[in-house]
Amino acid sequence: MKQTIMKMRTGRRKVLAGVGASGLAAAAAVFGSSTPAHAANWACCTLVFVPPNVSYSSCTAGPHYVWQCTFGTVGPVYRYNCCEKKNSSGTIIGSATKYTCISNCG
Amino acid sequence: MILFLSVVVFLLAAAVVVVFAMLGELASRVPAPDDDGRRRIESIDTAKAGHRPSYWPAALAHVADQEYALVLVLSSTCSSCETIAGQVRTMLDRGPANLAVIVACPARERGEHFAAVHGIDRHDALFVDEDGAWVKREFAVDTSPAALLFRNGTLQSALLFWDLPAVLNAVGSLSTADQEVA
Repeated sequence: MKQTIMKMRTGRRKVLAGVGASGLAAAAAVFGSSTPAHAANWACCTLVFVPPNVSYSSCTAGPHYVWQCTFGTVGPVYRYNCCEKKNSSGTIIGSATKYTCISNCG
Repeated sequence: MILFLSVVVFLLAAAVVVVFAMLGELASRVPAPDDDGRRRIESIDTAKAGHRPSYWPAALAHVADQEYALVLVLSSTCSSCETIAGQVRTMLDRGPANLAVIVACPARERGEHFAAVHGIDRHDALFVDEDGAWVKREFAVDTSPAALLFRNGTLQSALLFWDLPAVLNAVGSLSTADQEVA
């Protein structure tokens, strides 16, 4: 009798351990491959620093990358300039945006 | 006491029903996604239509040889490009000779990361354009998602789009297979 109870406990532990391991494996598969870059969206821009942390004029004053995108499909439509400020070695050290309304501006 | 608890349980059940009814009502009031807005296409007027590049990056060299070719311009700093990149992967997997992708980016590693995340990095028809320098210089295109339509290596038109099937319809059937993917 005692042996049967011990076997049941061991079996339950194995099942729980299996469930825990499966959960960890699933979590690792989903979240484990985190990306080296942590860009995030700001309007239609995907920027390294969100919210933008420098002014647009500061961003474009030195080495920088500017790309445009369009934000909005209903109501006002905006043209965004997404700016990434770089240092002399090319590392992105700041982000900024500038936008102008191009349609349905009211 | 039992009667009181019964009333409480009944009220709670009724409250749950009301909450779900409210959620349903709220859901019905949320406007449907604006498909017309997503399907719209704009011409990029500032693009250098009629221009033939003097130099083609190796990944795009095949474009110059095609009678008709489509080059999609995406950017790692453009949020809607992420959706498009996912759709493009399926097309690239089919390997049409008249399709290529440019990923403009502030730094090469960001462009490569963008391509890897969306599964388009394993294709030869991918050009990571650091600072968007080539596409800006050659075609004056600095916005995305953009579609560049070439004929015999010469830029015919540049379009701004938000939905891949819509732009494929607009530029015409490059091949029946691509239309099926879209």
